[in-house]
Amino acid sequence: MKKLVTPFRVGLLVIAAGAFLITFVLFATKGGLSDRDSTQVWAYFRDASGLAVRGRVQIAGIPVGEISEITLEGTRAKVWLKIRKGVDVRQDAAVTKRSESLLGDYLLDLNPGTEQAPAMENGGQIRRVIDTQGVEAVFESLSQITSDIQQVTGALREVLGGEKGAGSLERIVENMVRLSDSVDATVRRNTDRLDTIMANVEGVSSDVRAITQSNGADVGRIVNNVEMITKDVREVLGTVKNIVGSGEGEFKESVSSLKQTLGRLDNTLANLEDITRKVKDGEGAAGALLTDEQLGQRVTEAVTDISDFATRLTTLQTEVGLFSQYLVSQGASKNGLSLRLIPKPDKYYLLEIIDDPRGSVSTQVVQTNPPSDGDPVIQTQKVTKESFKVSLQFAKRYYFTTLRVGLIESTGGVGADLHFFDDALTLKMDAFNFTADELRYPRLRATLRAQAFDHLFVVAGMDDIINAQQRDTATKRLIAGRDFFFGAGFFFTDDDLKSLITATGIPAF
Amino acid sequence: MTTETPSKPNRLTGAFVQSVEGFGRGLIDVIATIGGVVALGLDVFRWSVRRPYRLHNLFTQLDFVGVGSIFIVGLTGSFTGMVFALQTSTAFALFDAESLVGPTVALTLTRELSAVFAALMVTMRAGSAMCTELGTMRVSEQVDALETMAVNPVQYLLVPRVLAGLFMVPALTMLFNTTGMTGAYIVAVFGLGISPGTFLSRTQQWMAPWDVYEGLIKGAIFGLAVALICCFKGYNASGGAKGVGQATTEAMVASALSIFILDFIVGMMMH
Repeated sequence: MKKLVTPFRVGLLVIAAGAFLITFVLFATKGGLSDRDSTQVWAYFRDASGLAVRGRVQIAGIPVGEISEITLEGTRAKVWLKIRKGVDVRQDAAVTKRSESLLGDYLLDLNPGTEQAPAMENGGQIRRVIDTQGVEAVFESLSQITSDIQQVTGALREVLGGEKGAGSLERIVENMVRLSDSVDATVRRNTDRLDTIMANVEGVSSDVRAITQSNGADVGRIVNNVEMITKDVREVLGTVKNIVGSGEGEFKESVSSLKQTLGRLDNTLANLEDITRKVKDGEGAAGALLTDEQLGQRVTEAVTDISDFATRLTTLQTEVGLFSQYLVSQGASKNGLSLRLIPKPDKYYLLEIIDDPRGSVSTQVVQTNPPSDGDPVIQTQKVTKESFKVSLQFAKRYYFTTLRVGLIESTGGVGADLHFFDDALTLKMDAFNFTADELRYPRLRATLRAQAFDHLFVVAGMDDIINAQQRDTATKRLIAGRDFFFGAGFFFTDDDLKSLITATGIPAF
Repeated sequence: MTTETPSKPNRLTGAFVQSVEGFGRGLIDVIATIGGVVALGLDVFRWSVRRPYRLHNLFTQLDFVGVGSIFIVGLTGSFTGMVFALQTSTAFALFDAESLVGPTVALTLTRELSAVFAALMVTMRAGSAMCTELGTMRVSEQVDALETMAVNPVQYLLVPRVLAGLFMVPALTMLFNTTGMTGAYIVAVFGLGISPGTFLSRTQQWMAPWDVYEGLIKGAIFGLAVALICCFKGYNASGGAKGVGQATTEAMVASALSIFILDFIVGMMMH
């Protein structure tokens, strides 16, 4: 028995190691797909970096297969995929290379195709390959934005560069310095005045409080005296009436009564004399107002300061407008809401929210491989999305010209307006969207705006003047190119809004 | 008659000459050791297929090398897996990629670390004992006594030890894999909050059977090399107790170095 102990122990170790080995191998084997349980398909990729054998293939985030082999064929990577049996892959299937994390891992998103297309045979080729997704797309988008900014700054450099531009810039800077100094001084002065106003108001309220508290008895006495006077006068008038209206016998009594009345009138006059004396001496509120020069001056300053302050607040003009334009080639209308903040007559800030039927266009690169050997066909897909566009511009007017710079329809741009006939007619020129892929040249727009009535205007013009027309193949929507438009709009100033609010009232919530 | 007095070399020149001599002697020793180990390996192979088969000796060595190393290998494996999971998760957390902890630990253990660590543990625990035992037998002339009794000492002493190294290190490698992955799972799931499903599915996704086979092949090669080196050093020990000690030290250093060098060479050949 003792002889068997050593082999038994060794056998246990060997069995345990064998069990571990089988477990590991079965565990690792389950991770892959056997040829029996899978269908093999393949696709060409221009760039297979980040893809690895056993990398995931998924539909809607659910793993349905794996990459089984990656080989080089000419200048392309041929990637073989094992797709689990039961997954219905069609011949119009598409595969997208997508980044899984910032580490550079990629996986393949499989679009199995439509039911109308024939089923994909074993060993078939997926012809629609979409790459440049995920992090690379983000970086590409950032690159385009950077390029946009560079174009705008380049345009500014051309406008402001050179001696003439430098001189303009210098004047602008000087104006801004003067403006900032003026604003600073105004703010400081108004701050002092506001302090003074507040101090005056405080003083007045304090005086009023003092009057009502300390001279309450005097005021009461004055009121009593006035009451007595009116009572006496009424009695006198009654006595006179009696005199005029009665006989001679009653005259003595009337005279006697008159004497009494005169006596009372003396008392009343004495009271009046007492009041006027107090006023003259500056006693009481009325006396203080009439005799204290400092208090009167403070009240005058307070009234002046309040008036100035209210005047400055009302200088900022606001203009709210709505406009609609019919795009002839597009066959649809473009609508917008605008808000113009006008701190001074020669400059304003313009904010617009625009619903443009052109939408926003993004680009995808799609590689389609030929049935036989040969170079793949690289297609560029333009995807149009509905979205609001935003314009935010700063404008400065010089004589009959207004220059604008900022965001125009969500891209960097510049613009200029020429005003004629006391601004009744305006020619507007906009240049924006400098680096969009769908445009060969920047988007230029010319608009003629006529002021029809006080709050109504009409516009007509041409958009995207120098680019040829391009339409979305699926929706036939015009995504780039020349288009005529006409339309109208109206706007309200803050005065109009005040009138409207006064007439209709502010809705209560 | 004139006599020429030979010029006396200065101290610097003498040191240089001694260094060159030492380097050359060391190089010759290394080459001689490699040659001796290879020759011994061929001798062991030749005698291993000849009768008589001494199974008792073989099982004794299998027990000593394999079963006796279970505890140290299991303990080392579990802590290695735990530490590796902990450190890789710290790095992967920077990129929000903690799901890769499982595959990273699994591939590293199965392909490399398990075989290397298992072989190192066997070297320290069993290899040193083999070398000392054989060296003592050599200096006390027990090996000569075996020859006198017409017993081939290579077949009697070395074949069981070398076969034990060859077969047991792969088995211990699998044990190291299992305890290492268990330790990594415990740290990742219970310690770091990684989802068990994520840990297992991503490990399953990236690990292939060949990764496990690669570790086993490496384990067998390392076990064979360690056993041959330790047997060679002990079998050729001389100079009494001091010589045995020196032979054991040399066997440990040579075994450890051979494990790392062979790991690089085999890994390069497999990939």
